[in-house]
Amino acid sequence: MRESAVLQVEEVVKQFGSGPTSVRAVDGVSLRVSRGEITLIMGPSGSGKTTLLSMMGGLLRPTSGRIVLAGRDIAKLSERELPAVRAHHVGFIFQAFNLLGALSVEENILLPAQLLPGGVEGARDRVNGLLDRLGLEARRGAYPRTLSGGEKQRVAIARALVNEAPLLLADEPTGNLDSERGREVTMLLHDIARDEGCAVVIVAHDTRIEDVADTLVWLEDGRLADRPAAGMSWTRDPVCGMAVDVSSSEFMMSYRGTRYVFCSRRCLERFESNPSMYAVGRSPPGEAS
Amino acid sequence: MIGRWTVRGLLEARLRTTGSVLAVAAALLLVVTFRAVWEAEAEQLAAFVENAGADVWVMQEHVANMHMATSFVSGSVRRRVERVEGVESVSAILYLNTMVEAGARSRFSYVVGIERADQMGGPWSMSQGRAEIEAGEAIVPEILARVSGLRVGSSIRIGDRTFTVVGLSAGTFSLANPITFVHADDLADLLSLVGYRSYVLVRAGPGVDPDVLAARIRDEVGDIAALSTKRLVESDTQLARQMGSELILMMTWICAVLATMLVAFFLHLHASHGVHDLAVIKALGFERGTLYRVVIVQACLITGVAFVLAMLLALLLQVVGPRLVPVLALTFSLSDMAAIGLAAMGVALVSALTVARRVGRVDPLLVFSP
Repeated sequence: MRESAVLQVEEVVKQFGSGPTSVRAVDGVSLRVSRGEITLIMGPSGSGKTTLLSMMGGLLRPTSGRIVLAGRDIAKLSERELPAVRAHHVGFIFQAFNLLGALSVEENILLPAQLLPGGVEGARDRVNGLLDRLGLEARRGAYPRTLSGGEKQRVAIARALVNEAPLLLADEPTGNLDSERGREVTMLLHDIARDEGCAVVIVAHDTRIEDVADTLVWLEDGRLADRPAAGMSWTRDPVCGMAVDVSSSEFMMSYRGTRYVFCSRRCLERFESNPSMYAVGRSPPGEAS
Repeated sequence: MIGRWTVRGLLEARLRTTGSVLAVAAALLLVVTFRAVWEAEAEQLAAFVENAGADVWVMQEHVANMHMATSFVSGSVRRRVERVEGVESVSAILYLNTMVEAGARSRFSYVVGIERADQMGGPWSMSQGRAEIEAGEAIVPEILARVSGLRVGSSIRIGDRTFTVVGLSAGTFSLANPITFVHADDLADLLSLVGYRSYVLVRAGPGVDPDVLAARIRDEVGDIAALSTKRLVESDTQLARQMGSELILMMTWICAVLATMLVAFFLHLHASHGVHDLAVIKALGFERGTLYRVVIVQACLITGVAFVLAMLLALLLQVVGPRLVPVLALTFSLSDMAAIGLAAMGVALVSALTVARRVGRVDPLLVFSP
């Protein structure tokens, strides 16, 4: 028997513009996300993944359809009502971490707690627990500029968890991390879904996340589609060696006539900083085994 | 937490914050100093009347001031005033607003003609030389002497006459009207007047109320004006303030608008640099009202710190200013400072309003951009 749904998306459409130039970024998508489950949304660039995630989190209003979160259709809520939904029912994790540079690790995590009835003081114990669990205790007073990418993402995860929101939305959570840190964050999200009972929705190109996802949704041209198994073209990231789908990766560049595909911006940047180090002496990127 | 972020955001943008605080402080300091200079001038304009030693001033009918006024009363008025009950003693002075050539430059001055050094209306404090004046002699303010290179024995010119400086008086200088004392007969000759004086100065007998005595003199002497020293001081100070009020108001507005533009510019700049953070805060569930409060607090902090800095600099200027620039007198009043403080808060709120719309419309979807 399935757990009760935390989030139900029903025939959601998002159209930008009007007339012949209009674009349907999301076109009739329906899905259901339950407690303790990880739903992975994949698809090529521009397929509407982030638009769908924005609507699920109440950051963007759909043109039509229903998005039922915690029993309320948030598509019908006014602009004044949406912030409260985000504050109490959704935790966000972003590719760019989006920590506030002027606040310490602890303060960044405490920030959303200001919106809870108990306020910041009421959330102290929970923050202490999160710092401990995410291995950030020693970095409690550090500022984001001094943290590594993995640490930043762990802080962002802690911030998303502090309000005990039932829904966690993650946009490319491993996109700016190397393969090791990416694996670490993936496992964290897996554990959180199981231990905290959160419904976790992840938008990603990172195929490693597939291993922990309960449901995989493939989005193409704004619509749900079957994953094009035959169309998948795997290659290896020349920096970290991870398998990457050529058709869906956003990070690629040509060097000396060869196209290289990367799992994340971080790997792309590393490659750009010294292409000969990664391209020379390695076998040309071909189809991954 | 938002409060900490608000304050630390300002501290992190050290250069921008410092620049705007200094610029706003400069604008506020300009206003408060301008008002202080004017206040000091207004006070100094009345210094002669206050220190002349008289209780009642008798002058030409319909005249109610010394500043910017001309008054002539005949010698018979003096004699009639002497006979009024309650009058202990009288003195008379001639008085003229004119140019005095001192050193290489000419300066507008009160020229007061006195008959004896010990009479009412003479120099009340000497820093050098003597207070007695004979024909062809003059006493000038010590500050005027300092800035004009005069000393005892130097010459000054009033009209076509040359006077020898025999003394330097203290407390008689103001930017608009320094007081030069000469003998009354010399001034009468300059004006081609015989038997006339400008003001009759009256000392009231013990226990006599100056206002009551002034009324009695008006009634008994007739065709003259008589005011107690207190009323004449009020009248002169009020006139001086009225003359400057429009100018001060204009300066205050210019500086307030300048300060508002500076704070608004800073807030716009700060919002532009911090737009991503604002988007994050919005995405996390904070309402627009929180962002408005952030902007208002930032505007108030910048303006508040600028105000405190301006007031501290003003106090420093009050001590150091006259030492560095002898002709400068400053009187900072608490009411002026409070008014500037209120104006500064207005500046903060108006500046915040100009940015509120922009901040309120920050798109939380910016959180998805790298």
